Amino acid sequence: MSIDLEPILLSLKLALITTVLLLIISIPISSFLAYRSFRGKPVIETIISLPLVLPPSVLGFYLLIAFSPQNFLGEFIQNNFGLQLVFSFPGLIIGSIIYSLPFMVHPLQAGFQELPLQLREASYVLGKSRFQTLFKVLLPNIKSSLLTGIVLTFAHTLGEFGVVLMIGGNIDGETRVASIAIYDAVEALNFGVAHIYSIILIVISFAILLITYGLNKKLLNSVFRHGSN
Amino acid sequence: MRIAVASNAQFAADSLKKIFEEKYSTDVELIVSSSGKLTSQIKHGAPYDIFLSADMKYPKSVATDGMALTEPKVYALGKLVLWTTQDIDLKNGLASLKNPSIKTIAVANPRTAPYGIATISALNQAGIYDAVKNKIVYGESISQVNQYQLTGAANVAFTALSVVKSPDIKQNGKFIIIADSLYRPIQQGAIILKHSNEYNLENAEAFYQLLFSEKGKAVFRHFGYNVN
Amino acid sequence: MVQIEIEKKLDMAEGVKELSVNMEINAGEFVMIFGKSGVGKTSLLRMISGLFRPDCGIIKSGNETWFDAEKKVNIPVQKRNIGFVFQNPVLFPNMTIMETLRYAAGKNPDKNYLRKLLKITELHNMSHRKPEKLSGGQQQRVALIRALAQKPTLLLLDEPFSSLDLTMRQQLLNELKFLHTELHLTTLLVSHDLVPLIHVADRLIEIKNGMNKEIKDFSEIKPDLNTTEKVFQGKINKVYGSSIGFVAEIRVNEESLKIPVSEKMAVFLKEKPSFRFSLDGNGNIRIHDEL
Repeated sequence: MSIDLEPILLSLKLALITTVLLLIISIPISSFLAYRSFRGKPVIETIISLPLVLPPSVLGFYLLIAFSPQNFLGEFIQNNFGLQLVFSFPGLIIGSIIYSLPFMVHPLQAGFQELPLQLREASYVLGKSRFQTLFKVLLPNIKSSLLTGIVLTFAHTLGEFGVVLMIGGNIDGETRVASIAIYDAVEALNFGVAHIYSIILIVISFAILLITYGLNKKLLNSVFRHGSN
Repeated sequence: MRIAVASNAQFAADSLKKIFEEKYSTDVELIVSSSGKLTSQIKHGAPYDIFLSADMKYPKSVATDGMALTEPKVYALGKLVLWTTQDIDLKNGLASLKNPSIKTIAVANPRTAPYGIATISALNQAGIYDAVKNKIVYGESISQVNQYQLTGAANVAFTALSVVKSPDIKQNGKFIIIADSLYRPIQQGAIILKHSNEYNLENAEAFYQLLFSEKGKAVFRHFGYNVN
Repeated sequence: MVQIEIEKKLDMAEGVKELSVNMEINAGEFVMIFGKSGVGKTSLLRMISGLFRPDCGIIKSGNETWFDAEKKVNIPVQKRNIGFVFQNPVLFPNMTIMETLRYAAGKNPDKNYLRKLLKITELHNMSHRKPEKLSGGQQQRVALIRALAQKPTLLLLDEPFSSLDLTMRQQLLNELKFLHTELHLTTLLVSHDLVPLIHVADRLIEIKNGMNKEIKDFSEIKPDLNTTEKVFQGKINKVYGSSIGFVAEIRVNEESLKIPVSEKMAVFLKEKPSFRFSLDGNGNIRIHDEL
């Protein structure tokens, strides 16, 4: 039995890129949510949390419609950026970013909120800008939240299935990620291959979580705290 | 009574269900999914009485595992069509696929779906597989191929004739039937499952007979299948 | 000179209160503002610093306009070059004392000046320590020199030592006074508690009923009878006059307390070196009996 490792590598690549991009996107979003109060804030927070409760098929269904070149958004992106988002790796990245958004934003937002309120002001009165304050004072003091967000996002994206199934198109080396390859193998009654992919995924996930728990005992608490929210 | 039905046969099965329920006043429940998923479920003890597959391979594998009361028997021969709901010219048959305005072709996964195997073989026979293979995206079943087409995510789709003849889709777009000579006939097999032994054996046998009766054959013909 | 002429509607627990402040602080002065909690002392400091926006009025520092409601001028907190010491130290947990000072001092720090700050506050031997490894008094000292690292034109302190015990408070106040004189600072300190502070201030301003009022002699201040009294036994060290009244320095056990007293009391205390006394929240002293 020859095993094609490409789906595993593709899953890791998807998880890595999604995590990096989500980290960049979530820092401003979560600090904004942590420090500002404005009308409509609960609506924004609800939208960000929706992927926690919605079945991935709902998200996948609407992404399929939105990304379709027949519809406005898909057509606009295709014409202006030459990028087709259905059946493509960039499409999976965007889908994963939306799908994993709460897994990055929630820990970071909680991290910012747990810092003393005056910590920011203590930096501002020293003449430091918001940007300097964010990078020199705030982020270095929420390292465990950052780690939590990174690990949860990576692991969650690694295990993503429903959204990819809906918008992926099962293309080798492009959208055929590990979870899809496992599903395929089970469908084809090829249980041997399904076992091998599954075990590789279990081992990778276990290793990531073990290392993280080892590094950071706080993680366990924060996972449970956010999980119960 | 529960009948496990491959996606492509769901519309025909629904007609048979109505006929059967009228005649025997027994409720029939259809479980529609891909043949592969249904097979996995049956092998792990799903309480279904009859299995209408999209091919012969899956029912054979169920029978080999001793989960069936009968040997698989072909109830219909599926026909492959090229279908589009978009403003795309299909007059040149399969050669139309080379047209640059077609960017995405939805095909059922050949690893698991018989219509996918038939599609790839037809493209190979027509000598255009290499020219169009980069346009192909795979749906996990005929149902997902239909979704890709109906949402406009794919420009054209290879699906079952029964799908484009179904009441829901009839008005949607246009199709061409792929010549029988380009692929091996899609033999769709049926079996009575061991589970029926407990409660529903009589009903299951009655439905099985209906499947192969003149009335049953007429239903499958109506939905675009060939029958022996 | 800092000129403050502002009004602000404050949302307090007891409802909306109007705060109207009109005062001037001369360069080099050590001004103390006091008043009961909830009168808007902290809000006033935050408005001067730029962390909080007044409803109307002006704030000027020398020739610079920091705030002018009519001309829509509101210089951001970062541009006002202010030193601010909060009620809690709020140090940066990720930085050592040295890193904190370098961060605060900005580009091209005056290393001699930073060394001097460390030396005066006796933190020079632990400059590599992070806040978690410091005592409460040390943390507040770091907060103080952090505020001074950028050589501010105005130093603002909001109940800076209220979480510390009395002795530590006295000691830090003495250091503050020393820094104030040594570095030619202009200092504005806010407190609800008058006792330990009075001997260091050049001027006293009380905020009451939403207005500010200059206090010329602290015997004008009515004792606050609600404050729990504490009974001490002590010995007089010395009694001396300051710019706004007399101060009695009393030894209680190993601690030394500085207490503002009226002239009459000062004369009385000089003759009674050892006695039992009690003290209320506004620093009024009551003699119980002689030992």
